[in-house]
Amino acid sequence: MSIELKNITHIYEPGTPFEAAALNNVSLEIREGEKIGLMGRTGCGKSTLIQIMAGLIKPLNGNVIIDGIDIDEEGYDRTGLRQKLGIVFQYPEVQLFETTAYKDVAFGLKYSDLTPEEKDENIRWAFEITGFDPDKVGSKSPLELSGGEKRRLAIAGVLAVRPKYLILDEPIAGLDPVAREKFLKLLRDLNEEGMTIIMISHNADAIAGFADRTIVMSNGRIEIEGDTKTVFMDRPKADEAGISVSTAGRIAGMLRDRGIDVSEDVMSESELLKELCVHFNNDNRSEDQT
Amino acid sequence: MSIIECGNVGYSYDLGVTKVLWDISLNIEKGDIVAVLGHNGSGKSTLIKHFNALLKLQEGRITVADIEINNETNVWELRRRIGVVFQNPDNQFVASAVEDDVAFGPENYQVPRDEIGEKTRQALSRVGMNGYEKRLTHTLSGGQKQRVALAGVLAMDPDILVFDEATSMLDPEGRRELLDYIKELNEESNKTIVMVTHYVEECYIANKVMLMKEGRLLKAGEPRDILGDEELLLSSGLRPPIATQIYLELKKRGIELDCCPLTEEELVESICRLS
Repeated sequence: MSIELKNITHIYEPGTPFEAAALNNVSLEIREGEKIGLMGRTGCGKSTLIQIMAGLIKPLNGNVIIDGIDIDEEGYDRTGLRQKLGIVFQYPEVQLFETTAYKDVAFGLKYSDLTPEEKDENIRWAFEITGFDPDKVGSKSPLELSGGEKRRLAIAGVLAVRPKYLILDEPIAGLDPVAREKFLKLLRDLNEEGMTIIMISHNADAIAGFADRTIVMSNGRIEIEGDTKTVFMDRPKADEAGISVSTAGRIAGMLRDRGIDVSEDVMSESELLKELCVHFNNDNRSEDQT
Repeated sequence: MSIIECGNVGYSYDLGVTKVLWDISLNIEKGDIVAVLGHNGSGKSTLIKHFNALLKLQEGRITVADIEINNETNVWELRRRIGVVFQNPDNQFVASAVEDDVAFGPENYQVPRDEIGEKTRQALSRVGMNGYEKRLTHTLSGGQKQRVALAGVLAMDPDILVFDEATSMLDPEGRRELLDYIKELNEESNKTIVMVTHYVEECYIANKVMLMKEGRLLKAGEPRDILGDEELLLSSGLRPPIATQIYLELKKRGIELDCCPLTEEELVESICRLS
């Protein structure tokens, strides 16, 4: 089971003065259970790519194959696709619209075949996993919630259909460090339960701590792809694609450039700290000897 | 000379049931770069929405460039002097084409037509968006939108620029560029800058940091005094920048660097000096 993109090309408003190329012959496979990080400069085509993946934009050329079936085939079950694949847009809180939080989260299940009891169970699960008590928050107006709460509620609405694939466009932009960490934990928990997760982010530290595999786009193409550590270790290539490697990785690289011996595969702060302790203790020892 | 003065400002969105700002008093001097730092919901945005009179003052007193903000006859003059770039650029676009959107401010202040064209071009090239004049704003990426929103504010040439989490949608390069550019605006054109952020890493360009927590001003001071205070930041739901964290952790292990770094470059320099 997978999401497969085959030779996708897309141009916005072709044949008009506003014509803008977005994707150029992109092929990609995402397997069930993966945690994918999607990075790249603003305007590189990330958001277009995920909208095509979700069947929201029909590409000019190429095929989107989800669980073995081309979604543009005649008679393809689009409603089924919506239940299978959830998408969280940038600033999802602006899409809240119902009069109560419960109704908002329930909306995606309106046309599902589940029994009312099963629906209620899904809805309560979505509230709980996003950190809400459904009995307390369910009857509130979504507009009464704070910014961070609204975002979580919007995501609960996507989760309520229990999608197999979850795609998120910059979900942590604008969250403070504590909220960000909690949110990434939520994504890891969902992945443990079997959900495939594709997250767009500029935040290399978040990607480093989350994604198994990272895809970096540039000018509508996939520029780098591989397991996250390998992607971040190739600094020249990462620089060229305009992504920053994790902060600790970048500091380690700058130290190496200055002739300080720090291992190539440092990605997290704790790894860097360990290397620095070794470095300084060695220094002290050599001073002792002299 | 203080360009923004707040005295005992309080605010509530629900007629006093829950207060979101408590007794905020602060001064921002002309030429300052001030970072208003705080967790989500700490009241940062509510505070700065008073500066250009988007919110009506309920308690206390605020003057911006010597203008009383609660006097409605002053609103036009006030908004010529202070420009705000918001977190979500979609919320501040008024026109569908890029150049029309940027021109909207000057048009409203009856700037002559040929000057508007020039101002628009200049503003767009300052944010690196020249060539996008005819594009439709909704076809731009998130980061490009944010630059256009900034150009719209620059076209008005205000004395004070407020950035409300304006880097949140930018990629790392774009963020760095914007921060450098903010610094340039400050140094070369003597603009006063207020940046609202929860990215501690961005505070290095500021000369003053104001830390907010649960609607109160917890502490104001030099960036190094606030960002180097791990306990203070943690108690406010924030963490020091990674470079500063490494410095603090090394210190705990008996390795003392010669200064508390705020940026990666400063950390690397001081490690090299010690080595």
